Amino acid sequence: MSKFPTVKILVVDDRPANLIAMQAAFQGCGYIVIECLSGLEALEHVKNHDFACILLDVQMPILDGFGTARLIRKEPRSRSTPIIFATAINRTEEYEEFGYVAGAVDFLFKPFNINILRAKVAVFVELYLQHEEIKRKNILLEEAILKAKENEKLKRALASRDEFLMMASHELKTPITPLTLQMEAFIQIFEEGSAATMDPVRLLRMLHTSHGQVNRLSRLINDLVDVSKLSTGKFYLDLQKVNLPDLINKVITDFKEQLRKSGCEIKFNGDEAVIGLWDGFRIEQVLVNLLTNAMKYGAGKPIEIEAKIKREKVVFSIKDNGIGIEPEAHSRIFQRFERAVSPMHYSGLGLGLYISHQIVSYHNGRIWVESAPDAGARFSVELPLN
Amino acid sequence: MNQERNNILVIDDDPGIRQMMQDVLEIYGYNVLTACDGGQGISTLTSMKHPPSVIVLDLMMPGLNGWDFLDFQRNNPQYADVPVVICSAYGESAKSVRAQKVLVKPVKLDSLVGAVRTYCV
Repeated sequence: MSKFPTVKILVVDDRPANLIAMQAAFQGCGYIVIECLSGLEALEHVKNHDFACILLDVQMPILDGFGTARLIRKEPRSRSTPIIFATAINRTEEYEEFGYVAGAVDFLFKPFNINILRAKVAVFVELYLQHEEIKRKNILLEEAILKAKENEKLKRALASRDEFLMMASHELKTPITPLTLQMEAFIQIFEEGSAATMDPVRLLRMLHTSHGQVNRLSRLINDLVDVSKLSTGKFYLDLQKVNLPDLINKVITDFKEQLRKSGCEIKFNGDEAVIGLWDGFRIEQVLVNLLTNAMKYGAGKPIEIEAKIKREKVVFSIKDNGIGIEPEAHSRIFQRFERAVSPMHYSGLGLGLYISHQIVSYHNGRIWVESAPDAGARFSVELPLN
Repeated sequence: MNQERNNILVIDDDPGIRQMMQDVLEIYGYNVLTACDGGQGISTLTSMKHPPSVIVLDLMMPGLNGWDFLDFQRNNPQYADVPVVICSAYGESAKSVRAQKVLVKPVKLDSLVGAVRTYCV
């Protein structure tokens, strides 16, 4: 947009001679004068241009000036364009009133005094320019506000990504300490030839600790790989017939040792088969994530698992009786990098629920939580059977 | 010499690190007591007949953290002289602490045993 907008004036008169006179009158003013011979033609022009002012002859065949003015007012683009009526008729008050009602802002009487014509039009041109300037500034302002909002969003995203990278490097580094200590100790012991003096109970315990750390690292790496697959759209399901209670029982068996350590007793009565077309590996991942959370935040109290068929769908839920979740956090926890608790108090990357939510969505299902602080949490998943 | 001079108190919230530090330091002949946060660290410390030879301390922990523990330890004349080896994943955050020794995680065996040996008989 140039600094000085072009000023267009529309002149409507059924007599060509009058149009020529008008054109001459505005010579040197720097306006673009668009001329037309009828009201209908004028209506076409106001649809396509913004005019600073319209000079409208009153006496025209078919559609007269007043009628044209009323139609001009109905066009959104020309709703408030100033209209000056040009007329040769002797002025009467009723006549003028009629004109103002039709949408006039002023009258000019033929024959014109060129100076009066120019002065009247100049006032509206000045108004138009001021109006355009305000419009321009408003657009700039809106653009600036939009940009500021986008910047704010980007800043927040960057901050949460930075925090995530901090957490991720911490989580990846932590298991390295015990692994390093164990291996370096073993190397020293074997180099010194004192391996035979080592207590086998201690040796086995150290290997178990290290094994646990390796599992922890591979879980972290798998989660990171899943997140990158999800964010690049390279996440695919391998659908097969899966019996949900079998899967739940398998996960419970796999987690026997962790359950014992957490002190949480587990209840699940699933004897009836619930068979669906799902990606068994991914649904198992959801179960593992939910069960891990239930043990982590479950305060050593019982955990209940349920699975029920409802029409063509199955709903399964895992309920703990632990610290619970503030209602404000209920939707946030399914987003990437989000956690309801501070990383100072509970380790982990905040990826489990995000990945679970994505897996369930890929199955056209849904996941939700019902919880309140200190009242435990029930995570439910609804999956279509087919 | 008092037997308890070779006692080491390890305070870290990560069970894997705690267990492995205990096993490794015990192989080197030290007696190791462990605590999972600053609060447990304080209660273990105060329940010991004699102060330990050295304390191995993590900083970022739930509940009472490493800074809280240091605050208690330094303001109790009985324990103020016990040397502290900080083991933190963030070398930066350890800068604010006037510790005898700072180890950045992942910790290597030589630096851990080396640091501990300085303060034991």
